[in-house]
Amino acid sequence: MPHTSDRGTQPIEQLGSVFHLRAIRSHEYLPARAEEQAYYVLLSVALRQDLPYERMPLNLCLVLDHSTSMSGARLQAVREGVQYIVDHISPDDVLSIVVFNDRADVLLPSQKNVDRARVRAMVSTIQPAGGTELLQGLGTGIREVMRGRSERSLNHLILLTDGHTYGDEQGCLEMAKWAGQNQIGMTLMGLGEDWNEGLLDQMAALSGGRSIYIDSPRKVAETFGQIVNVLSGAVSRQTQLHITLGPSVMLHEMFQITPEIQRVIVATTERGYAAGLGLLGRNSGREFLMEFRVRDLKPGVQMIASLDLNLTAPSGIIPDQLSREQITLNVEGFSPESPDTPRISSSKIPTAIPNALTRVVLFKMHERAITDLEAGRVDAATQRLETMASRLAAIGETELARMAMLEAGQLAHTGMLSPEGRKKIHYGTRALSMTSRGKDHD
Amino acid sequence: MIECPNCHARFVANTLVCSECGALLPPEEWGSNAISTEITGEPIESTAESALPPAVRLYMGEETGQSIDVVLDKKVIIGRSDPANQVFPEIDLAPYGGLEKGVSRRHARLSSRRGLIIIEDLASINGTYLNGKRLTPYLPEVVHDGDQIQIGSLPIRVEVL
Repeated sequence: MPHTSDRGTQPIEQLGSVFHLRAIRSHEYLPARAEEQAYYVLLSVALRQDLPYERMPLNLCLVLDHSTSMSGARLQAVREGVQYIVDHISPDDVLSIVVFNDRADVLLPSQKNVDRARVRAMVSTIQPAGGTELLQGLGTGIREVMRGRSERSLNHLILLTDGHTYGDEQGCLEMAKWAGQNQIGMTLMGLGEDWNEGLLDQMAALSGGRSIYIDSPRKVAETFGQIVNVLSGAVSRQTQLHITLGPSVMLHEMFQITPEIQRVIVATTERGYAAGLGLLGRNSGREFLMEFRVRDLKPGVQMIASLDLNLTAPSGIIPDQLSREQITLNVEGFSPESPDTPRISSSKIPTAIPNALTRVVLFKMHERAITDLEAGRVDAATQRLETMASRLAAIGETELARMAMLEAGQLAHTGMLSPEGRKKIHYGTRALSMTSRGKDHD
Repeated sequence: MIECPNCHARFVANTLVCSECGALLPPEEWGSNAISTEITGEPIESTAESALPPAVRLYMGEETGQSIDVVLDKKVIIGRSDPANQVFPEIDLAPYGGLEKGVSRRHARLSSRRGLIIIEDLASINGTYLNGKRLTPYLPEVVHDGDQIQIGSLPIRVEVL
């Protein structure tokens, strides 16, 4: 039985040997009843700031599309991007470069102490030709990463494409999944408007990496730079989360909230569920929103879930061991009919949860608008975009709101979205900042 | 289950945000003085004190003498018909200069709850106004007898019947 009325939930803070965890729960108390109820947790995962981390050596493969559509400014931008990477990696880092169109070629086999002048000369010889077969480049790239990997290395593949791949999507997804299981992360970059963001997003989620939209060749080198900075700051490989559920509890959905909104792919295991949480850096934590559903809640304390986090320990901290941290989420069931039940208001829910959820809902609204559109339901897609626009305006995202409204107008008149608008809204909703102004839940 | 006050979609108890329209759902309260937001399964309009659904007479424009009567036994859309796109709102303002006056195809919605008359803007481009105040999209407001609403730039006076 709860003793304090009208109180909000208290976050759980946990400072472990390596992790700094914080779990904000939507409810500490829920009415005991058979009916299904929602329960949310916003989990922040960061590394302790006070440990002397060492940089992990990179094992990086660049997989670059050189199909005909890459001619001109695009290929030139890629040459500059490669140059940036070569200039900013350390001699201990392993680099390989693969170029692909309908087939793939290893331009630079995986190696340390990269000769910058030689790479520059090699990259200048890349010529545009042929179509785009993603799986060709991906397979060759992964082989190079496998050749260059070591006990301590951070393995990563950066793929840049500007075209649709046809017929090999399933193979690409399987390869991304395999990469994720084998501690090879992926950054998938789409240049321009004519590529499949759904495929790249899924591949990113499966590999524990990310997909990035680059609207102009001018931004290629800058984006390469940002990726290398993030990788250089990483001090561990993938963090794994294992979720053990309490009785009559299920995990409904899980989303990464920061650094950007992304659906987390959760796999079923013998113990419950497992998910990769991506790379953690010295100063870069991540936040995740989990929605649980609980049925048949009885009076008294009940476990919603136990969250176990494991990471391959940062080099130099606990060599060759896993760092592990566990956090238990409980809820107390109370009888809502009991005359001595104090007044409990769920309006005391910490604002961070509805704020995060609002952003997830906006992201999903766009996903559903695209699904409606692809199924020929133009009116439904238009209405979703209009609704999205008004919600975006309400949280202060005026530029994205304007774009969604323009696209809704375009859709109503032509039955189509502009390729540019479609990508800008998709990646714009993913990047919705938690600090957006406006009418958040208070 | 709980119901979204804006779009009436239904969700599992304690859901915080409507995934259909993005509205924040009213938090549930328990214990003494609690106000239940749960759906009872009965339509709200069927309570004893409001056996008949409310009805309104809408006077179109400034002193034009034109009016239409609307029974609010269900939600009705105020908008501008667009046959090319198969849009036919229940209250069609096209005959009242809707296009020139900036009326969207699906502009606003009138409904009744617990005997109250509710208006809601549907994220229209040119806005819906109630007694001169622009409505926040999807935020329902109560309309009273004699109130002036404005759809785009078309004024409409409301008489509750």
